[in-house]
Amino acid sequence: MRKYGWLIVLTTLVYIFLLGPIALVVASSFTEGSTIDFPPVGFSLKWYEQALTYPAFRSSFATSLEVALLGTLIALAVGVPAALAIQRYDFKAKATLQSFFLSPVLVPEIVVGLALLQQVMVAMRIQTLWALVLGHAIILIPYAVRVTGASLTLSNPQIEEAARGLGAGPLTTFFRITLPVIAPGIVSASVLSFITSFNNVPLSLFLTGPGTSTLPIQMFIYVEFTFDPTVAAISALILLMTVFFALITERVVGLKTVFVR
Amino acid sequence: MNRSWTPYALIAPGLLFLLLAFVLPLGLSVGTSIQGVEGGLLAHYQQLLADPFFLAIIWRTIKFATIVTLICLVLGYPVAYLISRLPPNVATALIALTVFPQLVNSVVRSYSWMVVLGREGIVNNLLVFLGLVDQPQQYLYTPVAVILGLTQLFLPTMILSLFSTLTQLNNDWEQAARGLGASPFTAFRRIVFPLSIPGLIVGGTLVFSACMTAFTTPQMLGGTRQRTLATMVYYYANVSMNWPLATAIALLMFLLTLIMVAVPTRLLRQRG
Repeated sequence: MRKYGWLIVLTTLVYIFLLGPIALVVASSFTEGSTIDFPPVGFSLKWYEQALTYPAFRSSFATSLEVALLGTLIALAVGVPAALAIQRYDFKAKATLQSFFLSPVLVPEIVVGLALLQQVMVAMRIQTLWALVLGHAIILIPYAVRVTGASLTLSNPQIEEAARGLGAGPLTTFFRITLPVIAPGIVSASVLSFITSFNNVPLSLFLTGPGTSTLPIQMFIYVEFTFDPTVAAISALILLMTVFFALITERVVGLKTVFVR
Repeated sequence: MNRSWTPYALIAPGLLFLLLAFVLPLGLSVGTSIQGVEGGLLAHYQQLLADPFFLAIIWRTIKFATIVTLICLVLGYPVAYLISRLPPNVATALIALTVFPQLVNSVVRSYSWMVVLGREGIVNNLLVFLGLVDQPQQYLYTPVAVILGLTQLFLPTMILSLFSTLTQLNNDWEQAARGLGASPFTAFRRIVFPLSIPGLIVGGTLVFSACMTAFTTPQMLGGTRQRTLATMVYYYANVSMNWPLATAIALLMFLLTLIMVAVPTRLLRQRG
C-alpha cells in the first residue's frame, strides 16, 4: 500500500470535493436561521416541515414519480424488443438502426425539449404530463436498448436455439428462456431509466405547464427567487431516498454493473 | 430458421415512436429556426454569428468546457488508476462513492455550491474568521463557481470511464516491464498510459460535450453574469419567448459540440 502514498492523499481530497458540499447541504438543512448559513445556527426541523408542506413540492414529486414510471415503461416496451432484434437477428440496415436507437442520447436535451415544446405541446395541444412522459421516454430508449442489449450479448443464444429445437414456439422461448436470462439486464435498465428521468432538468425545463412540473424543476425555480433553507431540507430528503435506492440496487444487481460500462 | 420479418416486427414500434416523437419534431423545429420571419433564410444564424456579444458567449462556453475537461482528466486519472489497483472490496466501495453523486439531481448538486460559496457560506465565513478578508466576498456568479460546479458534476463520469479502461488492462504487461528493469514511472509511461488512451478519449468526449450543453450549473452558479449557450437558450425560450432564435442557438450549440468532439477524436484515433 505504501507505494500508493500520494495517490491515496489525492484520492481522499477528490472524494472530499465530490461529497463534501453535499454533506454541507444536509448539515445546513437543520438550521434555525432563515438563510443558508454555514456553520448552521441552532437546530430545528422547521425547514423540513416547510419543505414537506409546500404544495408545489408535493405535487411535483408525484408528477416526477409518475413521469419516471411511465417513461421507463414505454422505453422498455419499445426498447427491449429492439435490443432483441439487434442482438439476435441479422437484417438489412441493422447497424444503422442500432445507432438510430442510441441517437437520442447524442442530441442535447435542451434541443429535444425545445422541439417538443413547440411541435408537440403547443402545436398539438398535448397535456403537459403526456409531453413530459413522451420526452422522457425518448431519452430513456437508448439506455433500455444499450443495457438490455449488453445482457443479451452476454447470454448464450444456443440455449434459445435448443428450446426452439425441442419444439418451443418463439413466444414460449422468449418468456421461458430469454426473459429470465436477461432479467438482470432489464432490472438494470429500469433502475438507470428511472433515476435518469427522476433527476432530469434540461428536458423537463421546457415541458412545464400550469400546475404540472417535476420536482427538480420546482426546486430550480424555488432557488431562483428564494434563499431560505427549504431547498436544503428537500435536498436532504432526496439524498435519503437516493441512499435507499442505491442500497437496494447494490443488493439486487450491483451498482457497478449498472453504472460502469 | 427465423422468419425474415420477425426482426422488423420487433423493431417497428420503437422505430415508429422515435420517428414520430423525436425525429419529426426535431426536423420541424430546425425548419422554424432556418426560416427567418423577416430577414429571409438563415437570418437568425446570420444575426447570431455577427453579434460580438453572442460570440463572446460561444467563447466562454468553450473555455469552461475545456478547463473543466482538463481538470477532470488531471484529477480523474490518478483516482481511477488507484481504484483499478486496489483490492476488489475497497474498489467496489470507492465506485459506489463515485456513483452516488451521479444519482443526485443537478439542482441539489449546484445548490450545494451555493451553500459553500454563498455570502454566508463556509468559504466566506472561514476566510473572515481567519482574518484573510475583511468582509464576505462575491464567489457566486464568477467563472470559478461555474468551473467548480461543473467539475464536481462530471468528475465521476471521467473516473468511471477511465476506471473501466484501466481495470481491463492486463496487469502482467506492467509486471513484465518492471521485471525487465523499468522503473514504476517508465512502466506506467510506456505501458499503462498508452493503453489507456481509448478511455481518455471516451471520458474526455463525454465530459466535454456534457459541459458544452450543461444548463443547471451555469444557470445557478453563473447566473446572468456568466451566460453560456445553454443558459442563453433558456433565456430566449422562457424569458423573451423567442422560440425560433432559442432553437437557432440550441442547434448552433449542438453543431459546435459535435465538431469540437469529432475533430480531436479523429486525430487521436489516427495517431493511435
